[in-house]
Amino acid sequence: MNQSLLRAMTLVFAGAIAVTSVACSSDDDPAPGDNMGASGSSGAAGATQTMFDKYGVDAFVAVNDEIIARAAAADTSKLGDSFTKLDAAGVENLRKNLAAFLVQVYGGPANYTGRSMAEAHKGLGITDAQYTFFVTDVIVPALAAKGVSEEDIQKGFAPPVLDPAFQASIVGK
Amino acid sequence: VSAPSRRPRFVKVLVGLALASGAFVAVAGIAHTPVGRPLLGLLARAGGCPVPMGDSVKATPQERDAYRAKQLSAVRGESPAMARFAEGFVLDETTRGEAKAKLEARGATCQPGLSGSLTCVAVPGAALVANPDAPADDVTLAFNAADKLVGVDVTRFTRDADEAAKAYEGLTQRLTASAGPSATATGQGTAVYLAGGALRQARTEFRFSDYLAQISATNMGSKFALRESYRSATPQLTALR
Repeated sequence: MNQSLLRAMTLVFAGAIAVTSVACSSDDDPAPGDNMGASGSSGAAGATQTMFDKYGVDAFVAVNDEIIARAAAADTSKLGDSFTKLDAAGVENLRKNLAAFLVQVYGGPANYTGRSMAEAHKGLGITDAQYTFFVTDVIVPALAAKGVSEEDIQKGFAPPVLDPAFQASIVGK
Repeated sequence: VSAPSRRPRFVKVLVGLALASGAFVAVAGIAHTPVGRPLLGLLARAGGCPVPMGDSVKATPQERDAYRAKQLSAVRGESPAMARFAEGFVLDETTRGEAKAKLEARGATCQPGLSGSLTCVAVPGAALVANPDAPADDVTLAFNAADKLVGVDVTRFTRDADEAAKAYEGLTQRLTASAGPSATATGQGTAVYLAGGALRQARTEFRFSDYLAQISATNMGSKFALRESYRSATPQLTALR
């Protein structure tokens, strides 16, 4: 697979993990579904309520689209050339796969059939700066733009993306 | 039906399964060769793969320019910036060779980055302008097809919330004074706010007809990320295509 495309798409999926995972384990090979049904850790989310329960499918679709839009708006020097060649069909395919991933990891229906995180990271050489860029310039603005509260970002979304083991599974591979 | 009469059909089924399995393995194998990857791309589009395209995709410098022009047309502002600060580099003028020489002369280590960019690590603060006392962890420079600088991206990490807030405020004030008023601002550029929780972020964006800039300070848990992004947004980029 094209390295720049894989790098960009891996960052997209890493972002998806950040957006959707709540209780990432210390396992350095988190895979889609590891956090299926994960509950929000914030008090606002409730003890048994998943983020999918709390925000609903429309919010997931909105965040999903915002992530893709912001990734597509990034300069190629940050995410590579992949988006320069992504046609309408490719974008739609990405939307569906990423949405399925988000929904599944966050406790919704398990319809994601894509690759595991471990498979997606191999040989991409993602740098700490690139990972940071994706978090600071794509994920955080996307969540904020779609109305996710600071409390849910901090308590629900931040832990996995900032988990050293999780980062180690993505950066420098 | 007697057993002898069923055996040929059973064998046919077995042979058919074997052939089908062989064909599947062959197709899968071919699909993962350089020659067969377009096929893998088609399979990916069918929804079985999270990556929607194959690895034959590689943009040319001209294609990157065209893509940038399309991106910028959607976000650029209406009036030009008073000045286009870019950490001592000159957007649309500094060449790749000049930028590389300047940074390496100060001790930075530079190498080719993504999509024709130049990535330098451990860049001494003195090689830049805004924070000469603070080294940059990563400086990525983007160039157009003419090898002229069109983007400067600086990432610094610090464990000190005061330092992050001070640098963020200094940069936003510098840009406001030199380029003009910001287009959007979110969060608060104070140490108290930034230290208040993971992924707390202060962010200011500047959008002009010829220049885009983004400054952010983000709580990354064990450290704070201070990011600067400066991009040329000159409409001439489109005219060059």
